[in-house]
Amino acid sequence: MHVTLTHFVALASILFVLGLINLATRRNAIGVLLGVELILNASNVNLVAFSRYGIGGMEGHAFAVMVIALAAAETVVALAIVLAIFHHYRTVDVDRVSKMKL
Amino acid sequence: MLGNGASLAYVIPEGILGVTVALVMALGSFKPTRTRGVLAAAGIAGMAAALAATAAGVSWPDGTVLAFHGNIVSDGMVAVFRLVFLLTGLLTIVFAYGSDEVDTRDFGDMTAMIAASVMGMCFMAAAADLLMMYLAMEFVGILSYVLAGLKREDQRSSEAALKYVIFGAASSGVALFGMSLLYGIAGDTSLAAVRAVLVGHGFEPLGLMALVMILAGLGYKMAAVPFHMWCPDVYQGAPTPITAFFSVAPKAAGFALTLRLMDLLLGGIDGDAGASLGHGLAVLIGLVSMATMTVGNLSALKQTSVKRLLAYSSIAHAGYLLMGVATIPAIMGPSPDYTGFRAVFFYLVIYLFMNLGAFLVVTRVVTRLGSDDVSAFRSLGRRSPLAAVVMAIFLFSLVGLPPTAGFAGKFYLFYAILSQGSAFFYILALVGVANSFISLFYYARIVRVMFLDKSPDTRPVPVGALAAVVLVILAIPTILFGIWFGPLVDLAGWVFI
Repeated sequence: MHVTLTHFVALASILFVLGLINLATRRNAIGVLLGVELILNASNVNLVAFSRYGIGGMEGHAFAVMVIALAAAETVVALAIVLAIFHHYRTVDVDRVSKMKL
Repeated sequence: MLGNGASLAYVIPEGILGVTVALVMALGSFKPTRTRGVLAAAGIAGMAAALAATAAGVSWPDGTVLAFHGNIVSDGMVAVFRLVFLLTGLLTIVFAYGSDEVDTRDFGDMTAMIAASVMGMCFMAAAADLLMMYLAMEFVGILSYVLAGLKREDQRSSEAALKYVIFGAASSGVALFGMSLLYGIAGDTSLAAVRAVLVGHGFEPLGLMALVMILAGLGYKMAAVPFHMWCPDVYQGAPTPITAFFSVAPKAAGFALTLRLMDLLLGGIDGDAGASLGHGLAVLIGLVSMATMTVGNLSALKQTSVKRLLAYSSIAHAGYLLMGVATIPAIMGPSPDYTGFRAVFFYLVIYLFMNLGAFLVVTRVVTRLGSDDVSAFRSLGRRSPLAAVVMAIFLFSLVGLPPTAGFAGKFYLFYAILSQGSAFFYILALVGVANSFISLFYYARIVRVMFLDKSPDTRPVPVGALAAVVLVILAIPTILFGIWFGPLVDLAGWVFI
């Protein structure tokens, strides 16, 4: 099969939608973060594919590398926060982490 | 378009902040229990140096300069927004110094993170490239998540950090996906290239979707409905000085980036494709604005935690500010008119003083009485007359009553949208006025509690000398800009000349 830009964009769109569904349905904080990771990687697929097949130059590759680095940084902070949450609540279920209501 | 070496002259305030961050982090690693004063002094000195440099005209070009190969733009707007971010950062460090909510062990980290996120915000206001936009937004975002969870031993602070990181990561991810689509359409990450596509053959539905996704990411930074859900929990759970910072600085940075994006895409643009996109965005942002102020004000009515109440109030203020952003049709065409965008800046400066002032009073009450419940404010008029009187001034200014600065700010905003002269903007103004009226109820409730309700405990609540001085310094512009706003209008004139 000949792989074209359309295939990559379709893959990215599917990944993005799966990420959104993950965000909306997961109750586990780690699961939610995995959803975020899917969205970021969907964007990376887009960026690199446009850079390779589209009219774009090397900016897409550079952008994707930056996103990978930032995603790592964000995950570090997010996991540290999830650890702190587990320490306090003994759970990482985002629905049960709510001391603050009206 | 300048190269990297020549561009350095346009990021000197950011450079000073970078040095401050390194210095504070180095100082913070020595004997953290005894260096709170030293760290605060270093942070404040760095911020003040950057502030003084900006005010003296350093990195403040007369025209527009594209620096770092077109990644950032340097103009008067960046410079005046730098003043807003730096002043907020500086005052936050002063608040935190006198608050027992920030442990001395964490004080160095906090000061360094505040200075670093102020630096990120300056880049947000200057971004002229999709990559730079994303990097600056994430830079501010990641630091904010840590700042929200600064009180590690406190459940609520950790919960605030979790909600912030989940909502923040999700919305910036959506914005990134929008950016990747725009890159595919334009073939280049610079906003100038995206604009060229718009001028050439207009946006297809995919381009519109990408733009709306980016606006969703920005809407989260501004805490606009429907991306506001994180805001009350984060504001309530974070340490109060940090909440004060969140309520002004990232919001102002979100607005700065939105104004920048709209200007680079649509400023002075000709042709049908640009005009129809501009009108569509104006209606979209206008509707978001109405929803934001209405939801913010109606939810604030029933709050009992003052921090949470001020969170909803800050959502409502994002709604008022969005009215100014909705004047996009005015910036298009051969004779662009930036009155609405200037009104946003004008209101942000006034909001800085009144909102930080209100939060400083809350910071002192939380430190002295250990609670931010409305009941903690009972009899504050007798227990701490200065704090109660200035709090009343800040709250009336937040309502927008004359002769306070809040009135001048709202007046400018309403003037800007009424001068658009179309039916939609009249409706928008009407919703804005109705909302200001609703907001009177919950702000006045705090004033009533402070002056009329009796408290079982009548001991005085000392605010401290430093906080008293800062409160007076914040109260002066809150009244002065209501009567004598000429200098502020001149400053706002730098926002897109």
